[in-house]
Amino acid sequence: MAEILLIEDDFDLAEMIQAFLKQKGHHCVHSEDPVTALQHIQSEKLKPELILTDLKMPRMSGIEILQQLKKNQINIPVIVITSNRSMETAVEAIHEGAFDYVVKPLNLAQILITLERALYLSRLQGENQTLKTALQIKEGTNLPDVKGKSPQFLKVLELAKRVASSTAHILVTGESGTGKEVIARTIHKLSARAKKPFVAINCSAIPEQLLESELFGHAKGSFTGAIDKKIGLFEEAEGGTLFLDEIGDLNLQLQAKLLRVLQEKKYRRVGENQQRDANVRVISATHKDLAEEVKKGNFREDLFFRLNVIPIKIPTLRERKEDILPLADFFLKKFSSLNGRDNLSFTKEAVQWLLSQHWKGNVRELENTIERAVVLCQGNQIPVEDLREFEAMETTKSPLDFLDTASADPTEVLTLDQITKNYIKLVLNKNNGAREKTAKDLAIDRKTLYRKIQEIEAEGQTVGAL
Amino acid sequence: MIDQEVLKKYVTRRQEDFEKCLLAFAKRNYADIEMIGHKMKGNGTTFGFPELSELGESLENGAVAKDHDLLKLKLDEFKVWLSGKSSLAH
Repeated sequence: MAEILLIEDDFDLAEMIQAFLKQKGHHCVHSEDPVTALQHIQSEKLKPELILTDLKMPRMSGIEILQQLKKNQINIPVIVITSNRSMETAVEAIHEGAFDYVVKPLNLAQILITLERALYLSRLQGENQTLKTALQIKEGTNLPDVKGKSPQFLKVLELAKRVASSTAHILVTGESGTGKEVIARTIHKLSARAKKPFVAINCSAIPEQLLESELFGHAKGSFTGAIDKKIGLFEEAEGGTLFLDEIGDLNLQLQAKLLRVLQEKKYRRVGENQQRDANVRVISATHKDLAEEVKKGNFREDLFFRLNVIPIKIPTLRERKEDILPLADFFLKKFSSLNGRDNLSFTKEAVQWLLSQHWKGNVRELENTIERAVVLCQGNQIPVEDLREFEAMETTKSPLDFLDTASADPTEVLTLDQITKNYIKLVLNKNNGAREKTAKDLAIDRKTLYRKIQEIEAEGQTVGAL
Repeated sequence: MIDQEVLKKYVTRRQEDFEKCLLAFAKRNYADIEMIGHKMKGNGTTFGFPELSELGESLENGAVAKDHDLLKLKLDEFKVWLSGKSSLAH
């Protein structure tokens, strides 16, 4: 049995085809209006396995339907119905991607054969794609950012693969630096939305008062400073995936708005009355225990259940030690290439050291350590000292070293702001880029820390181990 | 292979079309006759009535040419065709 969409403005023909397909065990939905039918396909209200469409219709031709499907990268086999006087158009339809055509006067047996052939081929293509993806995951090919062969990590990848084709919302959890965004990107890449945008936002990095407009956009003049209209991230991610990192930091007011979008698949720009459709898959992530936040009253329970349809927990690096060396090799190749250093390898002691570390900053800390070692390494082998260089540097540093100025002028006085930024950089380095811990150590909230980091970066400075 | 119930509905709708054509003919509303003729031309043979497709084509052409005599002749043929199919209609 297949779900078939019939787009035909001739009611008599539609009724006949519908009755016939029903008799043959298929479920056929009829739409007289091609424009509405296309909208329903785009918004996924209709998810047909096959489209049977007339070529000549008043509001939109079959050719235009094919062009729109192609433009929106919707891969559904289409069979066009044409009169025997418009064979040229039928040929054009094939060029535009139609699977086949049937000619009026219609022969129902012929329609059935053509339709079942298209369904068979389409299912074969689907199976082929699934097998290819499974192979890519197994071999780690075509997913350049995803490395790891431990059973724990493969389980995460397997789950990512299985959920990729669905439209369910996903909540990715795990410690800082475990690769939550990498998994979100992988799910997007393996999904039917892969050719549409993947848009990521860190909810704790944007000031609360700007976040709503960032997510939903705003109309010109909707608030002070809104000098022009702005499209939001939901609009930017249309048809694709929106990754909401640190969702646990979203305030309750925005949680309510997000819940409405997820329920109704509609949103409004700030300062506008017009409802807009949101065809976006939301993947959210947090390092927090959201169930605990719900108990504390910091997070809406209904939103938690909405987002947590499929939970994916990424294991820490210390829980999957067998991934440390493959990851280290991957980062070694990456940074060797970036720094023009060929044939670098680790000494035996360095390998042992890598395996013995706790990696509280997880993959991100490992990546930073390798990058630093590649830069510092003078020979062809990275010794354990280069890996530990940062550790050593930190232990010899005075807590007041952040007062150092790069300037040779001894009379130069640092501003308070500069001292603050230098100190933030120092603590960030000490914590291997772990922002949560840095914010905690500095007794400031994460938003303030992110704002400071953005200011530092805007000044053209790097913020060390991030 | 065509569902009998669907076939009955089809013939019933042609009776309705015939009445619409008569009204349009009286009002010299050729556009309505052209549209009805065009549809009959497109689907008649599919329902097993090639003669209806031919009739539809003549009605469409007659309406485009505003050929009153031709239309009168074809509407008479339409009436005869319908009377022959009365057992099929609802």
